[in-house]
Amino acid sequence: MKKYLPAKYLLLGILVLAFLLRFWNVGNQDIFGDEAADSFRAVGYIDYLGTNFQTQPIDWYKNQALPWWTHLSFHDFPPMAMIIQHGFFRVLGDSILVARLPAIILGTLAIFLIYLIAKKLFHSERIALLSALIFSINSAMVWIFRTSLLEPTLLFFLLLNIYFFLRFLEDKNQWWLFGGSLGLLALTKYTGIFLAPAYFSHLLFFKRKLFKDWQLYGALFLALILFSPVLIYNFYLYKSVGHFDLQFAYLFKQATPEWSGLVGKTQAPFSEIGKNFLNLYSLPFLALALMGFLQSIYDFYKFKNFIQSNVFLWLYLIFATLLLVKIGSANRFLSLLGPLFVILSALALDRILNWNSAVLGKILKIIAIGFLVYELIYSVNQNLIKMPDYGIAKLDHYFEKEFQGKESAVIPESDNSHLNEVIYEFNRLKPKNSERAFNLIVYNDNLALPTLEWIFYRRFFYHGIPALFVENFSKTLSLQGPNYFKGFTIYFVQSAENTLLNPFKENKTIGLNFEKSVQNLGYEPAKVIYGHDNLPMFKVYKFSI
Amino acid sequence: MIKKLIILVSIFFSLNCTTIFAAADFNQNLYYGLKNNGEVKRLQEFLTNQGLYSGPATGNFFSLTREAVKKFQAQNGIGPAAGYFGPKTRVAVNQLTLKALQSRQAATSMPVAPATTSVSVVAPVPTSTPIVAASTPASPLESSLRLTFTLPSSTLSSYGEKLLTEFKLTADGNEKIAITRIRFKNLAPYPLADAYLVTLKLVNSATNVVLATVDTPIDKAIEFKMTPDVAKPDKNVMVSGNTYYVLATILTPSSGAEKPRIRLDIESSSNLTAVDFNDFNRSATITKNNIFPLVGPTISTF
Repeated sequence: MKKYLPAKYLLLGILVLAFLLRFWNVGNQDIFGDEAADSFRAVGYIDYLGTNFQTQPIDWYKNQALPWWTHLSFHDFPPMAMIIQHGFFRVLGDSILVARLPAIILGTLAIFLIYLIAKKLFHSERIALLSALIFSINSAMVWIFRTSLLEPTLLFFLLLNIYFFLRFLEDKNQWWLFGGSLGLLALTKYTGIFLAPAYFSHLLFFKRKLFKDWQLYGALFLALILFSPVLIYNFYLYKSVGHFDLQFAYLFKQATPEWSGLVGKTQAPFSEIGKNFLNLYSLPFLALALMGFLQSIYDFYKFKNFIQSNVFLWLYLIFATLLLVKIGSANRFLSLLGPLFVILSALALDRILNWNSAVLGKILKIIAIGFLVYELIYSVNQNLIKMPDYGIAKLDHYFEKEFQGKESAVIPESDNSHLNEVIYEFNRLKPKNSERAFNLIVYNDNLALPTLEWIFYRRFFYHGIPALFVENFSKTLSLQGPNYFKGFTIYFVQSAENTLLNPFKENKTIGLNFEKSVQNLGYEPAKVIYGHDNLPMFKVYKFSI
Repeated sequence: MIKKLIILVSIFFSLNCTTIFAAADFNQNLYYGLKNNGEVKRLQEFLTNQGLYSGPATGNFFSLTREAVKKFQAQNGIGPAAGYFGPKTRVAVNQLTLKALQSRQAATSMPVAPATTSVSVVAPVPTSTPIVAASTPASPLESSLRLTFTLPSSTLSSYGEKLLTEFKLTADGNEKIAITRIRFKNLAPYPLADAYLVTLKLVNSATNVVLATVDTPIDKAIEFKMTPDVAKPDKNVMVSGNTYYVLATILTPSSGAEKPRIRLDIESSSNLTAVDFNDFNRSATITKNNIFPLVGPTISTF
């Protein structure tokens, strides 16, 4: 019993370390790209991107009732991660910190899962603890679990499903845990599907009898039931426009001209995998994982040790790599290999720490500890110190502070009745006796779309704060006259060239002209937001008409 | 003589109108289940313009399109309103398209009046009446300006910033004509999608000076307006004798039933503002050597 007490405490310490690495300062880190676009949608659980380049059913049905099936999934991915994130937003409000909180929590719980998996595979407390420790400090795993992408949820359910698969191999009565977690994995992101052929091959090699047991089919049926909302969504989507959702349409080579502008298939190609590996993982970690892989092969042939476990790791590697060949080697896709690399490097580290030779053993131990310290420092440096800073989080915080304690006194209107329902729904959630203020945001829309979505569209749809791009504001002003905005505090956000701009709009001059006209009225920026290298990213003018 | 000319002009415009209409005509029955069909795509665009369809122009005829066809049939008293795009619905759509084209012609082209009524329009001015009153603007300069597209049709092999068209402005003798505004449209049945082209530039071919820029087409047309500036070369406008080209950044339509085809045409003389280079207050006519519409080369995309 005594033997296990330190392990428990060690694991607890690793969990605390993992939580700190994932949580520290995460609310102040810029949100952009898919992180911002997905989080914007999760706040209201609406499939809407606000661009003509990638329209959704909510756009297509804007003049008629929105069919029930459109709520079952999203046009570009399944709904699980959105449901979880939406729940967090509903309870805690919408902010960058809350957007990433599910990932932080799931990323901490994932440490426990990798510990259980490694222990099941190699029956070694030390390998399990080393896996947990490496998973907690590994730079790629820290990065991915500090983001509000879909991958953190995917990785969590992937590990949960692997753990229940290993338990199912031992006790087929646990089929429902395996099937349930497989369904949730599929409901999170389709890329998790690479586990299916890995499981199938593993059963074919080692547990052929299970193919004759109803429990296996029960598990698959349960997974299918859980995944059925996505199938129903795709069935009706096909009936509606003649193709499936973005991912299935890509798989089946269906034409999707309405999603031509932002299709997510322009990610890094597989041929760039080497460069991207080095970008995502530290070199010592990759070297250690490679050593672990070689050791796994050596153990298999030399000692016939843990044959099933080693083969399982290889199958994971083979089918995950085949998936990457198809979908490319973007960093977030490469993170799928993270759990495997962690276990492999734990195997290598365990061997190093077990080295018999007195002198060499000591040297190797020092190297092993040196690696752990290096990985921790590398991870802190990559994720906590060298944070990208385009001023987006600072701009978001600026508005949070400006509008704190004051709800919008007006309800903006969209030309889409379904979006208007969202605006009204969120307006009803506002505290009844709260202080109200007439605020209006005018912005230069040459910014990257995800930034527009998180900073401006989010406030428009969910906070009821009118947010207009310059042309729209000018048009409204000339149509309605200046009295229309009388009493409003107007915030004009001008983006500097250093922040993330829309490459197709970065040369727009309308924003600059508008800024000049504001300056000609004698206004100076109320706030200049600086980002990396102390470069200006945004200027905010505050004025009234 | 004048009568004959007007009749000829009328015939030309009516022929021209028929040609455009024929190109936009629907000739097939369209129905639920058709996929990647160009006519379906055009039907979807037509229904979008009618405010009956908000879905994507996919070229796939499925329930979203069928519902819009049903609405169109109900609006136009076509029974049964079942969403089948058959002969009756086709005729109704074709008639509406023709009407729209005719009204557009009327709005943007020279008036095509019947010969009998045109007489009064072109009644000669009594010679005793001074042609130019002191307070009225100078009479238009009848110019020999000719606009010629110089590039053949081509196919792009990549996206990004691309050359869309190039044209030369020529004029006889010492005539120096300036153009301060030019508006392009695609008159083929594949209109300029507002989304596909951004950051359009009108550039002088010899000097590479950018004369005007447009962020993106508006209402599927591109209009370059130049601001005359005497301090700049050629007063910052287009001048006869020179060649100009149009650049645009083409967004990546990575999939689709029909790849976008881009053609910059000049629909009518009203799409060009021409003036005497030496007197910007004096307009110049441009119909002597140009027969509108001026059709540019087609850029196909891969």
